[in-house]
Amino acid sequence: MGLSIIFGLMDVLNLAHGSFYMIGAYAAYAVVTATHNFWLALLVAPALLAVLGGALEVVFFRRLYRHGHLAQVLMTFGFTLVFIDLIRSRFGPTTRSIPPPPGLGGAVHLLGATFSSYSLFVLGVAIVIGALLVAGWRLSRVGVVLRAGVADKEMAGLLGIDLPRVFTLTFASGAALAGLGGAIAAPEFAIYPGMDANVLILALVVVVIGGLGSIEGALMGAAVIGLGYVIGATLFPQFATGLIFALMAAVLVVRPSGLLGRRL
Amino acid sequence: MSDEIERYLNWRLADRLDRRGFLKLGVTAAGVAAVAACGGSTAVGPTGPTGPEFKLGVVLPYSGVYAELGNSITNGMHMYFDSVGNQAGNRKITMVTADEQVALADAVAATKKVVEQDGVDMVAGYVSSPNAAGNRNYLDGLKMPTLIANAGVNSLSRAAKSPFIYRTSFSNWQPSHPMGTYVAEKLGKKKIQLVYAKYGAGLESVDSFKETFTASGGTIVGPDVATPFPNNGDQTPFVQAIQTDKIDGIYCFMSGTDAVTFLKKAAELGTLKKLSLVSGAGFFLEQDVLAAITDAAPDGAITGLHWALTLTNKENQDFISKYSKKFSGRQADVFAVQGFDTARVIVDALNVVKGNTTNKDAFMTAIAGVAFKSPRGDFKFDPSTNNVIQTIYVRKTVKDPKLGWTNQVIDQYPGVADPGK
Repeated sequence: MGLSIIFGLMDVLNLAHGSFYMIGAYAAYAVVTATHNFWLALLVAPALLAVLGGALEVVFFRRLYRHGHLAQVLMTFGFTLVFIDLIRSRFGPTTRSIPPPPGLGGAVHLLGATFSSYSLFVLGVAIVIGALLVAGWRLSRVGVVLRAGVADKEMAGLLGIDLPRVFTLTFASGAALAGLGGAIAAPEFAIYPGMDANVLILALVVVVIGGLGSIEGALMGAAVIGLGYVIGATLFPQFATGLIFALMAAVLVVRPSGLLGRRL
Repeated sequence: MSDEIERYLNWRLADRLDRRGFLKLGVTAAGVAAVAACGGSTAVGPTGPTGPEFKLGVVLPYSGVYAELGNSITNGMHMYFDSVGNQAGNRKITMVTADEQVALADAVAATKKVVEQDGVDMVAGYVSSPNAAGNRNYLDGLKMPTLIANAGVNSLSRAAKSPFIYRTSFSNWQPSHPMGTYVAEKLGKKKIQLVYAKYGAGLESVDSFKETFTASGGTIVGPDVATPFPNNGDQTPFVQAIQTDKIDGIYCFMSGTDAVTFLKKAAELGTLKKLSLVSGAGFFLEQDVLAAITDAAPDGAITGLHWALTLTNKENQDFISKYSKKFSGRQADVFAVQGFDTARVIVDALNVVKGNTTNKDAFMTAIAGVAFKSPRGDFKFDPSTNNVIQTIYVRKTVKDPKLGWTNQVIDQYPGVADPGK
């Protein structure tokens, strides 16, 4: 989602987005280890990433907007290497995990099936955040500004929108979303250096399927990929990963700009 | 990272000492020539090796998902080489490392680098099976003495074995084979469902288990739960595919992050509590996994492996205490033991041939003849498979008041040897 906004609005291909997610997860790990309070981690991780994302935008990425995607890919890819080594030096290469917060560590029986309560919690959070984003995107003033930026950068600038500030804030909130995602995923998945690459690829696929610069599209893309992966993994485990890309290829053949993307 | 830095520093230091030693040698030689004095040259010291340097090419992953294994194996090697003063058979032993990474192309490049650029006398390493198998023909063709320090693919002890490649770690067949008998006969559990990561090691492990389990009257309840490898997605559908009401238990092969996410999800869903037996190959519940999942660990699970942290033999107790002292508190693991034993094989063989490695057949014969008491118990090679013959320990997962979650040895099968076909 954050990636979609960053890419769509700012036309910046941010490969470090996965690193933001990883840092979010490690931040959650550090907070939980120190304080045993998962809810605090859910606040700290996005806040930390917002600051980090904003700082990176002001110091580094701002200079790259003129230079096209290749320069951005190179620099953001460089950052992924830096971040993964920083993480490895601070936390070591071993796999870590944190327990789900108290009260969410068990299972729930619903409609004859068993769900882990933390998974349901994640689902709930995802729906709330998704709804907030869509509402904000459609209804709020910030949403209008962002949509204007996506539609036509120059025109938005001419109309008196302070684009550099919007860009910094957008980048910061995209990073914060990734950090929140990492923190929420931490109890569900394992935390290890390299988790960034896995999620980055999935996120890119989701964004491409959904259509660049479209929040609803990213949500739909995520649903398609999520269901596709689980169904594929259950039926043909050895093809689960390939299936995702097959789905992406199929979507792109039918709709080259993604499910809800604007025409390129 | 700290150990990576340490390794780098050690390496730089060794490099500098080399040069300094070399300079010293040159200065002494010049001095000797100038004064035209005679007498024994003592530039290298009375106990230092005088033969040519023995270069060992170490191809192990230092980046990517297996970096931790590569570091542990390297640490184990350093520990043994240091304990004998980094020399054997009157030759100074130098390790030249290259990063195996994850993909075969990188592992091939790393192998070629140590062989062709560094001109090593021997190669050791390989964590991942495709990388070991993919370099096999190259090393075999060069008649390069090689020790495999982890990769478990069965074929390297069978169809693809080479007179120049010996394995100090295990074949995938080994840890799981006694487990089938143990589960069916000693534990009396006759209905088992197989759960595994669907790739070479997973398939070979559960096949090996199935072989002895069904021969002992057990029934495999289908369908198998096969997860993608690695599984970066949700483990819920796989945990839920375990048919808790139809089986006595599961036999599982997974390792690293896959094992961590699977066990956590299974604990959350309460699946494992409904089973009277959780069993598997030892990697499923080795120390790295237990440290990550802590109290989500299945209490009382039974796994088979060629080592356990809790082994009480003197060699192991020595090993784990010295290891943790040397590497700033790191806990020893099975990979470090494999590295330690690999280094020992090299040292013992070099001593037998008195440092003469030009006759490769004689050197390989010396390697084949190495036998000793390892931290994992009796270690020797099988002349028919070139694979290690070793004890497989049956371990029970428990929470130890001192060690935390670990595996207690409850039974053992000595002298387990790969069948070679």
